[in-house]
Amino acid sequence: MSYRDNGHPEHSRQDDEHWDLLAGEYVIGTLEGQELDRFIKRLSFDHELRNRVRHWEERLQPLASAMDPVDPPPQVWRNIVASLTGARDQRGEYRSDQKLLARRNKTMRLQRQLMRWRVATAVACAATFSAFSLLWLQYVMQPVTFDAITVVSSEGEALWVVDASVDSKVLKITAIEPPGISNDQVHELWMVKPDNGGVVSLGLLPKDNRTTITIDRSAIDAAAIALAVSLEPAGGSTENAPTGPVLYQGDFFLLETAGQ
Amino acid sequence: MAARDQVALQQLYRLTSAHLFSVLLRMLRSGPTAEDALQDTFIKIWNKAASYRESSGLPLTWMTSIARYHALDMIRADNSARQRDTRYALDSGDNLSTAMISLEHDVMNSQLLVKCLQRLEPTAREMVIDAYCCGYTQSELSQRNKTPLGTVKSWIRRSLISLKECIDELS
Repeated sequence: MSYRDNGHPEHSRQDDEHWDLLAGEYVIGTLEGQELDRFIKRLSFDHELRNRVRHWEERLQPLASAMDPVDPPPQVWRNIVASLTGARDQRGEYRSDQKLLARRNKTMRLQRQLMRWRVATAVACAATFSAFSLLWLQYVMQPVTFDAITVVSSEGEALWVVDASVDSKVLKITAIEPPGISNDQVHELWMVKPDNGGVVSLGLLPKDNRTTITIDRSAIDAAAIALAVSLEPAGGSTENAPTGPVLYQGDFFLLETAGQ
Repeated sequence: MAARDQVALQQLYRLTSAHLFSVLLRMLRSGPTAEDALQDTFIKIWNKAASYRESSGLPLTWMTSIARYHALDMIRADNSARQRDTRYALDSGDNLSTAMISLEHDVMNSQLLVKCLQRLEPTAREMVIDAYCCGYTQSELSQRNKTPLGTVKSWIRRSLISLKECIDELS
């Protein structure tokens, strides 16, 4: 095997077949011993080899996808949360999610004197929650802090950030890359109440990049279940509900309330 | 975790944990061991999520690979097939029974691979499936099939070449 000027390995056709076969063996799991060690070491710097592995993973994925799903016991998720927050109780057992969240939030409050809003998910394109790749982009590729909501497009681009971390009385909404609309249109932010309680407008979203508006936090209902963004005529909806299409929506979580 | 989104991970967990748990159960053949592996898998997913790119592959494939490689590491470390078979026998009263139903049946439900797998010799096909789905090493396949190690290696390599040609052709 030789190396190109840029330092990347150059494979002959024979090498290609050899490494492709090893990549296949690596993916099905039959590569062993020193051969496996050498392969893994090479993966760390050989981009082409990583591509070969990825192609094998995709070729064989239907084998894994064919298996009947089996729900894991509930404690697995609790253990994951506990591991990620690094806390166990005195008996060595993992705490429940709720206790961990409460403890973490209390610490954050004391340390930072920040407001109590904790919003926990990015907002999604309203369309299809079954599109796994879409969800991946929304939920994983665009992680958000516990103090902000990021409104993202279906392509995963941040559109607005709703920041609840700066002041205890207002939400700051900053436009990052708002979708282009005509001058006679605006985006309006809505709060969705539980139990079919309808929606409440939280205001119009900024249109220009890096423009920030504020919303009185008292306007937020602690029991709200979702936030949504609709496209409205200039000035906003003239009714108590969106009159235009709802473009984005996502779950809303309040993990802690003022005064607790 | 304070800087990232637990709820986002929970959504992802709801969507994929049953699939990944099924994969891990087949490979590790122990409910508790598979649960530990699933936990480790999601922590790895969490830690790697920021570096995920489209070039890393499709999301579910990427996650499945993380789960499988983790299980393979566990198997290589301390978990021979015999131990796993014993564990499975001990655990067979729990929900493993639902996970271990006819592997052949499950695989044949996968239209993408079925034609290519059918082109393989039955023994070679069984070896590929056993390796991929159940985590058998070449040594274990050799013992299970009472076939010399070199022959197993040769069959697997021939099978991979055949599968690659066939899958690439069909896709």
